[in-house]
Amino acid sequence: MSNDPRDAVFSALHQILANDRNAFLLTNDMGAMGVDRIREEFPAQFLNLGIAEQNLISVAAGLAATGKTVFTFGILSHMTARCYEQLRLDVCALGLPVIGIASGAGLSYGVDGPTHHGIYDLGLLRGLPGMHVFNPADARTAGACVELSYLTKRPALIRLDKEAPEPLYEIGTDFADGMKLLRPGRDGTIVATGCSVHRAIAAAEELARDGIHVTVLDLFRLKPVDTDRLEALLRAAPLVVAVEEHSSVGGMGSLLAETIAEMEGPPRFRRLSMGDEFLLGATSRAWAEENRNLGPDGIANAVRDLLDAAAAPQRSPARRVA
Amino acid sequence: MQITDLEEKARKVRRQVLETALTGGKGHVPPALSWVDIGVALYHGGVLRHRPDEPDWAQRDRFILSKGHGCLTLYSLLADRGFFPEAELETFVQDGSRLAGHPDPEIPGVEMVSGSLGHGLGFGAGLALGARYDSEAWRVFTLLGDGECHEGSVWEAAAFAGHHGISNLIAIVDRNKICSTDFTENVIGLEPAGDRWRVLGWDVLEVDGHDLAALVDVLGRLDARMADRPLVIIAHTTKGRGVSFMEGSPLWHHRMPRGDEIERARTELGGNR
Repeated sequence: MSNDPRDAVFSALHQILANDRNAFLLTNDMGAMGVDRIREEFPAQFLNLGIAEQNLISVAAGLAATGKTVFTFGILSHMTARCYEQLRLDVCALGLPVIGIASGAGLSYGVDGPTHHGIYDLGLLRGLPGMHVFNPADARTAGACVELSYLTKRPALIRLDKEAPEPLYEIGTDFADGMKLLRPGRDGTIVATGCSVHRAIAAAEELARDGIHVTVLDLFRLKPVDTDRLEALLRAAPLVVAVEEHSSVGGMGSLLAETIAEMEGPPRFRRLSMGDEFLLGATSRAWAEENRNLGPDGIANAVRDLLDAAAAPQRSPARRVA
Repeated sequence: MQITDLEEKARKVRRQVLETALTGGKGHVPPALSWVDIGVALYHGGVLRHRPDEPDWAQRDRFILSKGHGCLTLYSLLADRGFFPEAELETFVQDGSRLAGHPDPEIPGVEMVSGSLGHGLGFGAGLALGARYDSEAWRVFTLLGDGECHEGSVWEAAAFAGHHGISNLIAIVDRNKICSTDFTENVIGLEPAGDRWRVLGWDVLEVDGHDLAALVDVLGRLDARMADRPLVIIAHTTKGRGVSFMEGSPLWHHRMPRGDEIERARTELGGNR
């Protein structure tokens, strides 16, 4: 079994289309091996609408309104912003089962320049009532997101990363709750999404070597969020670090900030993100790890900083006297 | 229904458009008036297959008012057909009313949210595609404004439907020659309008959009059409039709009549209050 999320997604999709003649795959001229196979085996359930994302979504919505489940496949940055109004009015306002499979989460296509950076979409998507937003960190979660979306029959968007990491979860894991605890730790919690989950795990391992034990939470469904469960998990943590390869505006860090702001006795909180800027030119994931503290060292340092800050009030008066 | 009866319906709808807007204190009256005859031909001329007491009837023809700002005419037609009580028209744009300044599917007989332009043709193409896939006989009618044809998404959808020969999709362009603030030809020229559709694979018919006999004739013969192409009907109309001081004037898009204008409009439109 491949570790590539695209393989898992298209395998799940292939099975859905084989069993349900009312399931469709539409694309804006985006290719993939999995797409080729579906086009060959289910030509009546496949359509390439050309590079025309507004029409892609309007047609998908109209088709869905005739009782079909419509998957769309394209590049994340184009399939969200370019056709945002179609997503808002044609799909979400009618609650239609149009499920976007969007390649290029975060800096998957970072060196292709800002047109292809998938770091500005979460605020848009989270702003759509009724939208389900998934950001899987491995192939098994990605495949499960397709199946869950298909069964839910609601508007959805699944962000796909180009990395093919070792699986985080066993086959048969139940993903219905939208979040997964990957390791427990009493000293704090790192909440991460997408590719950042793997960096968070590496950071937790690095911290454990220093005797600091942190929980890692994979928040792979960013809407809707089981807020009660999330709050319960955060309440147990003395500090929370949010990590995402996304703009600081509107993404998972914003979601956590909104949640924490309404909690009684909130934990100390820090966000790590791509900030609020355009990155012109080529920008690799490695660059972001180094310069935006999104790698294991940056995440571990954020945890240490918060621990130090927690310890500081007891020490500082003594320093002042001295 | 005889042509004279349809003319009477059109008179009723025009007057109701005005009175509904006056009651609500706002509304796009002139863009509604321009497609009244088209709407009457569709809803009363035996064209649209629909069941007012069963709005979601699976076999219904789908009508999409893509130029959602023309909804006053749609509301009047739907009320007259019995989709909802005519008295409900008095709630237009009142807080909590189903009848907002642009239509949405909370209203029986309305298929989609429209009012942001350039969505209806693509949505309609998707509906028509679904019907074709299921070998269903129902058709999709999408009414577009001509100013709406400045939207790029209209042409994405037109190219798509033409390429795939979606022949159960019928677009009607309310060609009243005026967009929101000016004549279309002053803003971005749309002529030759028919050629634009033809090169994208559409059959094109042009009709006087206020000639009820011609409209019923054209729309009534669609099933006999042996076609593997979608059809666009360019209906030449007059914005504000029926009210002399509104007709063909770029001043009149969502402006409301005031003072003496109200009685003049009522007198010219005729019909009952």
